[in-house]
Amino acid sequence: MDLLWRTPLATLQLRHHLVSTVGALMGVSVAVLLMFMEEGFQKALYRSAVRMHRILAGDLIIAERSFASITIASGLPRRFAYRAASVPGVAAITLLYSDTPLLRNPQTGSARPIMLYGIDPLKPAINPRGAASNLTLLALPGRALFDRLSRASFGPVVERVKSGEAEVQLSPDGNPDAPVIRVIGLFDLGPTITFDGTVLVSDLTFHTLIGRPLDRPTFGVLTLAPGAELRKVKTAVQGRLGAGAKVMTKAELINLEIRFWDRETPIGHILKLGLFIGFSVGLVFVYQVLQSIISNNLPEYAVLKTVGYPDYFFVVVLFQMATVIGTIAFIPGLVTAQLLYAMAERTTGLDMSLRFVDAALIFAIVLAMCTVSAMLAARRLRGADPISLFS
Amino acid sequence: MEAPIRLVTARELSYRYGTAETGRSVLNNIALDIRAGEVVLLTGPSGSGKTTLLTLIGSLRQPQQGTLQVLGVDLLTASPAQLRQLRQNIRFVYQRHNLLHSLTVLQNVTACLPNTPTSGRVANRQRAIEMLGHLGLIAKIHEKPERLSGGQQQRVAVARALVSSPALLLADEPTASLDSEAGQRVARAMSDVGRQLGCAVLISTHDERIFHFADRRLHIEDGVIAERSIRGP
Repeated sequence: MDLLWRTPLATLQLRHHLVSTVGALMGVSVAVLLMFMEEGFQKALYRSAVRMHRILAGDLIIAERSFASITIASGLPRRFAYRAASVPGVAAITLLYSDTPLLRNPQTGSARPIMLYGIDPLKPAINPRGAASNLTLLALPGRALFDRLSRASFGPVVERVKSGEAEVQLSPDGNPDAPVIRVIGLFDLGPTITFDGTVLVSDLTFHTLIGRPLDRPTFGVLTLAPGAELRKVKTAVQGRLGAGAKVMTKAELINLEIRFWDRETPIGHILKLGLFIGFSVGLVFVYQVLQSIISNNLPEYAVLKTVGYPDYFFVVVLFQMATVIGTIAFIPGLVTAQLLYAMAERTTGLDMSLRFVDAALIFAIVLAMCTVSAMLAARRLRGADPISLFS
Repeated sequence: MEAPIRLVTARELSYRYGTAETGRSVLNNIALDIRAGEVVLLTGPSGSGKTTLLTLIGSLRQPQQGTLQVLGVDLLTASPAQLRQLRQNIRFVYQRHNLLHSLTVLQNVTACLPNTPTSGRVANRQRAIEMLGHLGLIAKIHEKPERLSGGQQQRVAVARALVSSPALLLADEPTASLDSEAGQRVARAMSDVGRQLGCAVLISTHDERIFHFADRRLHIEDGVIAERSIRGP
């Protein structure tokens, strides 16, 4: 069948209907871009939501039994953590406290929510990049480390830390009379979709600032003894704690957090809806051009049927046309997305880097979109009836 | 001398549209024979059943009553595989040329040739060029159909139909939308090349200007067929 490969009818027909084809290419490019942006924001949301989880300095994490996300965690009774420490295979345990108080911009006085973590400075539950040299200094009361990658909404905190005179006010309600704490250093973590930045303090300073007793940490972070088997120890710890707490590996915790953002929050649904809209828009554009080409060539297809071209030949031609449109339109969509990702990353501080696997996923979705379009358009081929050619 | 082979034989062939009670009978006890190398015209008023007969012979419709043998295949009892095989030896020319505008003239013609071990791509291309040469289109082989006149387009359609050397060529009003000169050239092309190839040509037409290209004329009216002179109406 020369018309499939050597003299490809699909590309020749697309070239012949150039105006419709260019229209479809533009439409599908926009749809591809839309899908890339939704995918990019979704991945940025997930990556930012688990940044802290990835740097937890342990192997197993204990959380309250109904734990779903750090943003809504209510705290684990501390006795569970100590009980876990006695399980064979557990070498050490440390605690992590978290809350979302307001930080006042030292320049404007406006208060914005920030992620606050409290750690034991001698056994830190998290160890973000750049923090190591200052962690022990957090043991001094009223001292804090500030995330260098925080958004600018908190004012010139980073600049003031560099010049050695940064003081900020942190309190649960943005109280202007809240005690002042001194920012003694910086670390690198990055903001999330919901929080513009992060502050790290000692557990005692955490207690002073938030006023919450230290008997309900967010996580107990367990380090395993050398040679201990992760699964076995996890089962043993879960057995010791019963149904009162949830024991997770780091990977399970990350999956749980992503699942929360994906399924339990409006933004997760909105981003998925956006992906679906992009798919639908692209599908309509591809279908339109296929439908137009079929309508203009029904008698010619009928002639080919009379000389022995089987029905599947026309379906293959449709798939080829759809795939050519999808593949060509993918390229400008990809390039534009790269540019917009870079802009969005600069503006939001979120990790919008495009990974090969994400681009491959979008390409697979585009191919699926083209397949569905071709299948829908193929129904019109029934009109290519040789008898209709007679006067 | 041996008589030419009968390629189409119909006896007591009847066909009706719709049900027995409310339908309309278009062919009644038709009998006809068409032999290899013959050019036969099928004339008659509109709605007389010419197209129905053409599509029955072309195996595009299933006969309802009587017998119809085409190239030795009984169409009343033929299996789908037999019909597929049969259609490889039948080609059509229509009132419209129905050429693919995205292909060149040559590509339109070669598209209707199968690539088999005995007829490769290069051989097919050569054959298509020769056929287009026979039809006076050698200078147009790389043109797109839209750059050709109506008569030229129809001759390309004839070339497309004849290039595979079919045993039977069925044409439905092939000159109806052409001027006199173009119509004559198309009719001459079909009759000359058809005879050279030993192909039986059956042309359904109202166009008296092409009668003289035929060997015989069959007139069909009120579902009944009769032999008529090729010199008059």
